[in-house]
Amino acid sequence: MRIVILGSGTVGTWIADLLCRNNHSVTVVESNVDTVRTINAELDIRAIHGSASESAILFQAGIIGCDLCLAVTGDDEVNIVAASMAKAMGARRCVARVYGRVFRDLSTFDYQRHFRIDRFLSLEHLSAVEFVRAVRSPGSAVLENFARGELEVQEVICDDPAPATGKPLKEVKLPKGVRVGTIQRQGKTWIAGAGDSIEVGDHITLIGTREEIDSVKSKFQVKAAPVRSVVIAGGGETGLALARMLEGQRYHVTLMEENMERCEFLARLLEFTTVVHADATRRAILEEERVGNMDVFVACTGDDENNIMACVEAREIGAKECMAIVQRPDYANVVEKLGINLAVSPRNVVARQVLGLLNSGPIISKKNLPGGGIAIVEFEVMPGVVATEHVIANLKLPPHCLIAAIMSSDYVRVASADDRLTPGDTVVVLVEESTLDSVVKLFEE
Amino acid sequence: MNYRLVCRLLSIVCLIIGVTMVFSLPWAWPAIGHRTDENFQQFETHGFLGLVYSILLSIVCWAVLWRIGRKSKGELYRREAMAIVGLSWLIATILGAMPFLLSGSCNKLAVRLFASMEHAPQVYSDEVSPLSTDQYALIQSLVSAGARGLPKEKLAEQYDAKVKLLTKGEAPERPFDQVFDEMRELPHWRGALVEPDEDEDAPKDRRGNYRVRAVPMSIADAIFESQSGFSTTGATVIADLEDPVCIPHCVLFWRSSTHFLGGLGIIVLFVVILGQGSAGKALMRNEMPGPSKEGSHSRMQHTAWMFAGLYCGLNLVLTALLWLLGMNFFDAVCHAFGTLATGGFSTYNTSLGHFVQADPVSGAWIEYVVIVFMALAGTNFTLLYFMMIGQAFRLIGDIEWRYYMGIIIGVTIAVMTFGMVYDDFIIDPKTSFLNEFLYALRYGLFQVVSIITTTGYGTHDFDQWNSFGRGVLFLLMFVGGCAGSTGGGLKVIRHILFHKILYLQLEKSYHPTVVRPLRLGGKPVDDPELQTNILIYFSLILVLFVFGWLAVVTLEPDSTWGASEEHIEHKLIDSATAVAATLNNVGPGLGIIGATQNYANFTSWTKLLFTALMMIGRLEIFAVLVLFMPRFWRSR
Repeated sequence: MRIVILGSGTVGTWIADLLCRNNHSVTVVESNVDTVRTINAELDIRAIHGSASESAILFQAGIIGCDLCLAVTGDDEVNIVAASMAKAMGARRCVARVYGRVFRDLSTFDYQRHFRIDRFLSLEHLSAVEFVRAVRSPGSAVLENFARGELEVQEVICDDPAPATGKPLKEVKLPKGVRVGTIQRQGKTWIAGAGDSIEVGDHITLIGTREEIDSVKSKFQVKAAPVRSVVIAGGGETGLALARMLEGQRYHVTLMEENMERCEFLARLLEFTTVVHADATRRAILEEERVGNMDVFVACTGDDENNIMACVEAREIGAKECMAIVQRPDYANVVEKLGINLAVSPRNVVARQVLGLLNSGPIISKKNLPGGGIAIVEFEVMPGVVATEHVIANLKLPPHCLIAAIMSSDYVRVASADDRLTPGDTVVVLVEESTLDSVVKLFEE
Repeated sequence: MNYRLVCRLLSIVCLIIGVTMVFSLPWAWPAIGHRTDENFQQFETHGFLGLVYSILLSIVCWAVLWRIGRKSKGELYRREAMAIVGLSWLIATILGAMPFLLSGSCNKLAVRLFASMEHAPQVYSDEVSPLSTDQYALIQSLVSAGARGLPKEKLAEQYDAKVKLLTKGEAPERPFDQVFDEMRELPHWRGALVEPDEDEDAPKDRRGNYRVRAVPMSIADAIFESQSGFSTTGATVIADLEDPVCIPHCVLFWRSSTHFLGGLGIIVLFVVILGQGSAGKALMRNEMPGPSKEGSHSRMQHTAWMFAGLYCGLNLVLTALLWLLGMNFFDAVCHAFGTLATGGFSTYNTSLGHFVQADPVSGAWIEYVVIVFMALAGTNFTLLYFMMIGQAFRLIGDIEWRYYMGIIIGVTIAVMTFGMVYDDFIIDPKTSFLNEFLYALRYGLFQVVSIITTTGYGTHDFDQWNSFGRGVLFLLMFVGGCAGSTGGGLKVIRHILFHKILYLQLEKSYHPTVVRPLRLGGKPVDDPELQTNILIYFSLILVLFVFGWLAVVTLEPDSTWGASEEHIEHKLIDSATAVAATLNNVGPGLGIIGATQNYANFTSWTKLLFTALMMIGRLEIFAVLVLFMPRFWRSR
């Protein structure tokens, strides 16, 4: 596939190299002449010198008809403008890397929809999502990426008989905004259909807004899950995103940050998180903050060595689970030996994202759930396709296929049977790998 | 300090006061003044002249200050703005006191009796020797008749009855006129007692009566009354409001007009008229109550217009409602002024209770209407504005307003419960439970709203309630209304923030590294100075309260309480409530300044102290205290 990458910082170069090694044809646009020279000399990539937001340069880079355009310069605004221009000039899919949180916030303005950008990538946010997934429950699907953070997926364990257990799902009265996504029973996971019933001992996922999920949880779970305590060391963007996603639910979050000004900034944003002004690499401080009694310790400072050391210390004090951001691939083999339960590498996370975007046809991205042949597929709804002809209930969907969420220009919500897709929407579908082709047909022109 | 500029702006304040006085003049004519007394239907010459002289004096002040300040140059800075706010209230108080002084209004009788015969009575504030039984009976009859006095036959009748009551059935030994003549021979009493036809200039209704002479208001009285009006306190030194000779209707109207001006704020009016740009903002910041000064409009003059417009609009609506409910026009206007300014000046001795006594049905409705409007007056006017333009959710969503309503409802329930347990609201023991509940609801709610908004109207003598009820009302004085309302007190928002700050500091004590911002309704509070300001304000109020209390206890002689052991016990509590009631601009307190009493019997020095407290409370301390800092006045 033909791919244009705008900006060649560490992330840009690394993605370019990765894609190049996957036999794609890659063009890089970079404003620094030296970098351009180096890339041209060292990699099998065409590098062009110029500004990413300049139309002539984009044209020169072959933006017209390219399969994917990644805007990954260091500047959010440039990325957004460039990605938007690329889309307008004819790139099939375009992705912008954004650092700022405001661009992801849909409450007042939908930047992504407005600039017609297919995906906002944020390393920090993606890493945080990885941690969230691990903290919540390792097996569960995290759809935050797909529904742009507006919808949540929560795993519920039905340990005791509850009002909704033992009867088919169609008899369980769920409000419009919540759907049961998957059911996991005895190691097998499948997509819930109307005829399925939930048995005691199942793990199910609920899709919907946080408030709505909380309001229906009692139907599946009689006892509230115990509150778990999480300590996050390092209040960078990753720490902030992680705390935002965890706080207020059944997690008691403590965030440690060294810089006082940053502490104040974080404390203003995070209402239910205890922000502590402390250096997480010092053992005495970890002890004083009672890290030993906590369930999860996540180290996400900007420094690999500090992260690893903090995790080791926390483990020694008695923290039950330790996780860390480890950027350098060299350390990947060591971390497990040191007792760190999860090491997240932002690069790998981004790589997975970018590779998931390299699809043809109406599929924007595709991702497989761990343990089972279930794929989470994001479709673009194009004008005149079969899927727009009927309301969802009347679409000829294969069994075990669930349209989970609809993202349109002014809302992101859980799909219900009488919704009708309109061109321009993006939908998230949970589908079994074997029947994916028949779903793709619905969205193909 | 740019004195010329200060003078020029202050001159306008004089003019505002003078012009407002003009609106009190028409009430001197009996046709407009709604005289309740049939004997008194002539033109109120004294009151009218008093007002005219006061207007002239205001104009002279204006002219002098204008002349000094006419060549003023330069900008208005924070320092000048603060000086103007503080001084304008001083000037307003002094000019506002003039009608009371120049009209020769009287505020109390020359003789003060205490509840039992053994207590030495006071004549012209001097203690005299105790009275014999028949003397006491005579003086008590006369005092209870007020400044009007009693004609011969009625006095004889009452005298007989009183003597019989005091001696448990024995007929008087001497006729009353003999006792009267005897008393006039006593050194102190001569000037205090008036014989029929002694004073030929006296009005017709009292010329032929035996009576006790009324005392004209002293300077301290007049200044107290004026400041009480402007600061929307509503504490009064006038014992008999219903006697048009003692206090003419036109002066009574001026008294209520001071509420109108004070509730709106002299400076707000100033900014409404003149704008003044950023200077107006600096001025308003010092006068508007409450810690948050953000308005609904970006221009301060618009904010001032909004505030003034709403305030006047609400006044009009309430006047119309009260008028429809059977008040005469004069009473309706005066009570509307008193309600929306959260002042509490009434035109009757029994305050709003008068209307229930006159007509129980419409009187009850008047109470309910006044409850609603008092509660509105205690609400942030910016929120009321949003409600007016159809954004009621902003009112309901406001944290301060929710707490304000929560306090009103919670305290009312507590007061009702305790009141019903202790049978405080029952007059007739045969009252059914439902009726008792309704009484409790009406009186309890009214008093709670009246005190929390710092209005101070009374419908029920809460001084007779159980200790819990009285204690709660005393504490409520320190709560006050919302920021940006006309209510006084500490303001609900300060209490909310104070508790949050306390909580944060408590957490800091065992976990010093934690960083947690002050949040209000989930949103972090931006102003970094706010925490300190709140704490300083709380401590200043506490210091002022404690030292004010100490000063009153020291300054005020025990004889004010009757100098007997049973009364003197109340001195500490009564003084404390008096200081709280004036500092928070409430009005009535407990004991000798209770719901049915007034401040007339305090000494002049104490009255001046109360006056200062009222002004400090209204201007939220700083604008007044800086006036006493020498460095504030220095130019360099």
